[in-house]
Amino acid sequence: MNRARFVALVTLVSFVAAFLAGCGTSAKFRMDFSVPKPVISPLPIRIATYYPPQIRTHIYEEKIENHGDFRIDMTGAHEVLFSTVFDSLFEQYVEVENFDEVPGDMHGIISPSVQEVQITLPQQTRSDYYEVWIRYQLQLWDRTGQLIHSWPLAAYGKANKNNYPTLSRASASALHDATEFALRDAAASMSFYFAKEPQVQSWIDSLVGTTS
Amino acid sequence: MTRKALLVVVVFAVFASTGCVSSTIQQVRQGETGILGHEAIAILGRRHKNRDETRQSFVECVSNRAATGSDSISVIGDKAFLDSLFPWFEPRTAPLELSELGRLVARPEIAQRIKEIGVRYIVWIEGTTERRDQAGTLQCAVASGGLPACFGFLSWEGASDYEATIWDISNQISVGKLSSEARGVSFVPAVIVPLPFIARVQASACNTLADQIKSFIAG
Repeated sequence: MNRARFVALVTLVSFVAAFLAGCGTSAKFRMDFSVPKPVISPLPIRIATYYPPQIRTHIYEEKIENHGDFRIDMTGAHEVLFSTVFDSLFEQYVEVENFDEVPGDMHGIISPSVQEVQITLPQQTRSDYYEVWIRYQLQLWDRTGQLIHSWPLAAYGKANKNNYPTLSRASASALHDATEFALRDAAASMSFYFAKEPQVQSWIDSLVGTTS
Repeated sequence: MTRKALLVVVVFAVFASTGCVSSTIQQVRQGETGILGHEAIAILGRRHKNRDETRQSFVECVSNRAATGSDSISVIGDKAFLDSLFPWFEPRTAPLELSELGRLVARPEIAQRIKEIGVRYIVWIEGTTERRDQAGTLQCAVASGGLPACFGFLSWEGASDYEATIWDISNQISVGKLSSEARGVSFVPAVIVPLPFIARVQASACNTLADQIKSFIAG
């Protein structure tokens, strides 16, 4: 084999290898997430928040048959989400490491946890979208430790595969964006619907009635 | 001789890179428009549908084109606007009807933020670009000399259909709808080397829609 043919063959093999690597759907990344401060009027309540260890260092891992390994490190992302929302949603908000640390002037304690994360790929759904679902569970106690309400919060995000170059690591970029949209959706839902939960609403009404 | 050969190659490459595109523009005016120097428009993609979401690249293309040129308008991009008014324009929360916009703007904190960023009009972009009627085949293989070669003929029709709905935030009315359609046939003949003749329908729809938005808002 002369030099020119050898170079052509190596170039072709490299191109094919790069193409196959680019088309692989496996994705592993860490979520660097920030969410804008919600433009909302704060509720007239003071709340302490406790983040359990599972939400602080949450990592989603799944092996999808025929599609590869997926790992989304969401360490810190959920905390950023809820801290940013609570800072705008409540008149005053503090984070505590355990329930004994809750300051005496707080009206209640809220604790979010991650129940489930699911992803789907365009190849699975025969659509154009990478999709991410996150289901949280929220628990709210009053200052005496009595449970006021426990409710689920569902969030959804999607990213169109056509927005990403086909020869790059499209699945990682698209899944990153779909996860970011899901986290933003959770922040939006929390901002909108927290005070619309009937039990929460009546609890806030009772507090406002007694403190005003 | 070398220069002539180079010129022929360049001219051929220019022709080879573009196919013919036909564009159709339509507009319906529902109200008076005009924009002051300190005012801006926000160009946003609709994202509430489960399917046929407007591509981000198209929304960015329209925003960039509207913000440049001699008759340019101050444009706030999709992401910047959504962040400024978070969480009121997210896929699940964005107003779909004018009445919802009215309720939104009635909130003092929203009205204040809109005033701060100086947005006068919201332009909602909806639509897709599709590849239709694909025909032919093109196969590539390594020839006996060790070099790759392609043979065949591939063709398809590209179709871009986009609509822009313009809301005047100050008066809380819909001032008009604009639509841009572009059609073009792309083909790739290959005898050893593939020669793509690509009809850039999405770029054509972007340019015509952006230019139309600028002239429509200028009044």
